[in-house]
Amino acid sequence: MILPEIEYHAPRTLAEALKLLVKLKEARIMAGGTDLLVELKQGLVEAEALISLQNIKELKKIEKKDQSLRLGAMVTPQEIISHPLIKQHFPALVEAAKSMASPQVRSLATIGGNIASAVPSADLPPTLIAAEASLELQCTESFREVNLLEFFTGPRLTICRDEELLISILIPVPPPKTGISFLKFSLREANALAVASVASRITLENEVISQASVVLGAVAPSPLLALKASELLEGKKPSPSLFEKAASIAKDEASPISDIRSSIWYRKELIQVLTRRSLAESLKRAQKNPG
Amino acid sequence: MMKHRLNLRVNKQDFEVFVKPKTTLVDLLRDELGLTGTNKGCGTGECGACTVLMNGNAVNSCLVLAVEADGAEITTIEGLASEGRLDPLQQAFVDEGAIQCGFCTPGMILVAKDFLEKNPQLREEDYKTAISGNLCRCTGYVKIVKAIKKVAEGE
Repeated sequence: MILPEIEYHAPRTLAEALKLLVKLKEARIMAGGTDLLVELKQGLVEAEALISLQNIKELKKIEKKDQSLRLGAMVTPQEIISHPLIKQHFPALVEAAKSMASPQVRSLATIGGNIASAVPSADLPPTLIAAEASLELQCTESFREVNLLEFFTGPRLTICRDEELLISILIPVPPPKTGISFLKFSLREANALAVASVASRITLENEVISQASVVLGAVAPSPLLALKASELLEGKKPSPSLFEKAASIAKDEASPISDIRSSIWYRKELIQVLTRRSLAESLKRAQKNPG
Repeated sequence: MMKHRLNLRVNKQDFEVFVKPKTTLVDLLRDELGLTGTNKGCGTGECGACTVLMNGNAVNSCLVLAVEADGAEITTIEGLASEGRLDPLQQAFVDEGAIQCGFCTPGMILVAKDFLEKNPQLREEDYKTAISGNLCRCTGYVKIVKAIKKVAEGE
């Protein structure tokens, strides 16, 4: 399998990259390249040039900014797994990163690529949405911050404009008594895409759920916030029967397709089971987490 | 297409080469530098046969453009033995009979090397996780896991 002839640019600064994006209309942005290079080899995508983000140091930073963690778009899953701040505040994101692909791919792939590719089965977005992450999009003329949930518009489709670059991901540090968890089912334990996944978040106040979210992966054109299931949980005392009810609502909210990995029926069943288990785990974490 | 100049260090030796953007790291290693110990299997990052260490991380060299290895420190299977002595992992693979056809072996050994360096505390299932991105089509996984475990436990 070989790559087609292609031009290669590796700007050293963000400003330079943004200018290239405007100038080279038929170019593709390359982050880790773990998807893009395969698609180019297989002839699934065409591009005259690649704009590699590999040399832009500021896109590789992980920093605490006010009450948020700011992850540069070029941070790899391997870096997510081993970073003390992420381990401390977002264990669920570490688990999601560990579930991705293989160790080798985890050292090459990037969080920005995992988001911007907008593949419905992507592993990081559900947890990031449950954590209320937002994205920083930059172009030569302007800058905007958008809610991650609103970023996706369909399979491989986002609101990101051609001349815009996803530069970083902002994740607010969760309030005290908050637990987030991520569960994924795939056909093998490693190196496999999600058949279905669920991220959930529970925040407790005086033993009552003050804030909850259930986010579904691989069962809709984009990661899906199960609104009805989330609303059901809020203002109630957590209990197994409440979680059971929320899980069955989440199952109804899922709108999966049948494909090579699973049928619609099976994906819906999975969502019910994963939602129930994920909520139980999030509750456990919320109770343990003093903030 | 214009060739790009790149400098890289492979197995502690410096190289200056000119490559086209379409050249992947595995092709550079095999075709330009003659280091054919790195095998090329699927070309899509699924099989792990082309695993090398790049700046201390195990990566699929079929998913890295050679130009992106500019300034990088690369270790291939040829770089493990020193002064005529095999690396402990290589020796353990030999001793345990963890090699059948041998095609996956360089990748298995390099990913294990990365794994053992990064994980001081190990659980039983970790050994399988370590090689989860490497396929052995002879299905000789049991002995491969045994060999890695042997080195980890310092036997």
